[in-house]
Amino acid sequence: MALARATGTASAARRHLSPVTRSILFLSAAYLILFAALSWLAPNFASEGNLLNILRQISMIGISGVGLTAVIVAAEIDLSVGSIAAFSGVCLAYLAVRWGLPLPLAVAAALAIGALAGVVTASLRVLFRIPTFITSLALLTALRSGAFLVSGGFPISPMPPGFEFWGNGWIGPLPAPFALLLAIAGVGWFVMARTTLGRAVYAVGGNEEAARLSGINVPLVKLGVFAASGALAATAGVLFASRLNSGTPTVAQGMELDVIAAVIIGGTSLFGGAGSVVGTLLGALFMATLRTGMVLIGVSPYSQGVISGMVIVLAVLLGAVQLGVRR
Amino acid sequence: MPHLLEMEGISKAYPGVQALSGVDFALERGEIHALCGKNGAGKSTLIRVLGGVVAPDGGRILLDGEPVALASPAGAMARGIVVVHQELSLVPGLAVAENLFLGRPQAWLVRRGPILAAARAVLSRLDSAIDPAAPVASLSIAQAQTVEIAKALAREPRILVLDEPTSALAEEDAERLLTILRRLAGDGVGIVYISHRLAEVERVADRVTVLRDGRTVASLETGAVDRRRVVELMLGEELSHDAEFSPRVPSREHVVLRVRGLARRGVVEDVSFDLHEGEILGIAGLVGAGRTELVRLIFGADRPDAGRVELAGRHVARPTPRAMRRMGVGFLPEDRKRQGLVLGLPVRENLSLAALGRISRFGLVQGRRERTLVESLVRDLQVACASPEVPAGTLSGGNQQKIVIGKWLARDPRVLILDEPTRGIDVQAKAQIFRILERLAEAGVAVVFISSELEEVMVVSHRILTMAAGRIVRESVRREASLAEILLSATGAA
Repeated sequence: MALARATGTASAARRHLSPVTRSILFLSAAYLILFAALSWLAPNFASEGNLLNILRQISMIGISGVGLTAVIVAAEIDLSVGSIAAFSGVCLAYLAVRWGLPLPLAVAAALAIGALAGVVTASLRVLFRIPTFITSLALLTALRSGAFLVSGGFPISPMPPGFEFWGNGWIGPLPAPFALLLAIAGVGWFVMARTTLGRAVYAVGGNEEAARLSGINVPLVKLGVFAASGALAATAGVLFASRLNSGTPTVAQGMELDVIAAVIIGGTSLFGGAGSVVGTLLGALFMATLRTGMVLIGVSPYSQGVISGMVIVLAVLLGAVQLGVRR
Repeated sequence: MPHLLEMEGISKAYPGVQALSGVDFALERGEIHALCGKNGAGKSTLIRVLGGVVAPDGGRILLDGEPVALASPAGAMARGIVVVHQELSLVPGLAVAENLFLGRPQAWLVRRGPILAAARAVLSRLDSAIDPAAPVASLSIAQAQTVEIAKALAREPRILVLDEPTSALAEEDAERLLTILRRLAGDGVGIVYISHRLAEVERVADRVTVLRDGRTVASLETGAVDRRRVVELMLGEELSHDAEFSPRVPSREHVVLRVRGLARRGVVEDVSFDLHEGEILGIAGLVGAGRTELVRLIFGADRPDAGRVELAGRHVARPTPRAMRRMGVGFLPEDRKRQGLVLGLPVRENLSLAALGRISRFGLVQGRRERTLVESLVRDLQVACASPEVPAGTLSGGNQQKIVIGKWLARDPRVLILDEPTRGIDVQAKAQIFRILERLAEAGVAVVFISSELEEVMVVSHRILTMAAGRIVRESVRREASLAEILLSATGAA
């Protein structure tokens, strides 16, 4: 039977695709079907303007999603990304407009603020074992409120000239924020898939104790993913500020939910240890396309949320079935 | 009178594997019937069929001569078949008593008094002094195992199935368990007993059924066979040599690891010893003697209250797994699934996990270097896996353990600490792991070897430290110590 087993698993290995790869293939197929259906149902869906608009829409969610993918692969969660985006965007405007700080410096400061927020969450986790769900939930509330405090409740504007390029401009044929997303996602994919740091993230998320006993610096890995996630959420905040030409305290309300949905639909496991940046991009694209499509074919706004919600559950359900929910 | 249980021609196929092909098995009232076989021989599948967890493809099951269908675990339990699995299935946060009656029909309002009383009654059948109000999390592994068996007893089983019940227990606790099983059998319960410990099987079982490759190869009266014959039947070939093992005796010139006065309150008291190049040092003792705790302190997995650790003459100021790794120490922890492996990641990534620095440049993993490393480890350790890309969790226990060892061999360690490397793995894999240790020692690696099976420690080690109550109570050199003497020291009687 040893032989039977060996050959059995050998054929299984030939067919073997990791669950993450499988969900990416599955999601791609589902996306093509959705795309075809919408092109047929809504005549102006497949127009260049609409498609580029979708790409612009997913840029902020995608950029934050790259960081959150790493956090969730490490078996943690960051609920504060939307508030980090708002807070760092407002701080950017404050520094650039009120203080007259040069733009590059102000942007760097905004990104540092985002990274710092991530480091706070990770530090409390590492030092005092406070679940990141709790700390980031607290930050979600506190930073949103902070954004109102800093701005006094009103948008800070106008931003210095030229700044609107990052949210509204074009790089070649692509919307500038989307080009930025592609670059960030490329780096994110490379770090997760090809570097020792990425390996460590998967190992920590898959089995923290085994990783620690293998000599992996678990606290550093956690600080790293949260700092990255915070900085990327702040990047999204900078883009919002550019797009609106102001630091607005109300932007990115509930963005964390869209980002988490994109990550999970993309096949990343909420239990950690498995997932990919590519899946997250597809997840974000899928949700934004669905939403735009629903608007175009005139689905009532009241129903849109219900449909989006069902799609999320369906995607996770299919993932669970793939993994084999045998008990 | 019909048999209590009869399983006839049971077959079960999984994709790519014929797990059982026409297995026959019979159990009488009051009988302890051992089920033996290598990992993958079909024992677990047979038990799953009996427990109603999987439905067989063919064959029939008779209880008291009546054919029955065991469609679900609940159905099997309703007919008095209770399975105690190898892994504990207790809820740590609940009290012992609550665990005992978990999932049983009760009044909707939980009243603590009657449950505690009932729990006390069940535990007393096991001669156990465990407090039924204590949370399970506060128990030792041996106590938790007792609770697990009490939970089975609380269901008044007619057929009790125990899968490796002693694998986590030290000799003394195992001995007590065997006595209890004899008594239960005396009450008329039919017991199916699965164990890799053949000495126990010999002592406790009335009959032995040996499975190999999903078939019944023999069903014998225990008195009529010796251990060697059972092993031959399990392996399906004559043993060319007994697992005779004679590592070259090391010179004991170079001290690689020096431990002085190491202590952690309540678990390890003032432990000092030297470990030499090329030496295999066994640590014997009962569960709770502090063996695991000691090696975890040495590797820096836990923090000591006092004492010092020196490696190759250099004092390690604050041992952490990272610092010890850098200084050439490898550690195979007690629980390979929870502490040793990332089960969801491929074999390849597990093997390279501790050696990422060696296969990367500027933080980038060099694919070719990694593949070369992994291929040579898989070959050297004879890891049976279809491909290094399958998740580590899909391998058998023995092969998983080889991966945990391989993870450290990838770094060419000077010291390798192995905590229970042979727990729950089959005879063949065990022999292979012993060979690996022998080879490592000959190459100059210093090895610390912990096992709850005393015979193993005696066979493998050049020198044996025996621990009791957190202290080293005896040091013996290979061949000079007898099993009985070590056991006496371990129980604190000498």
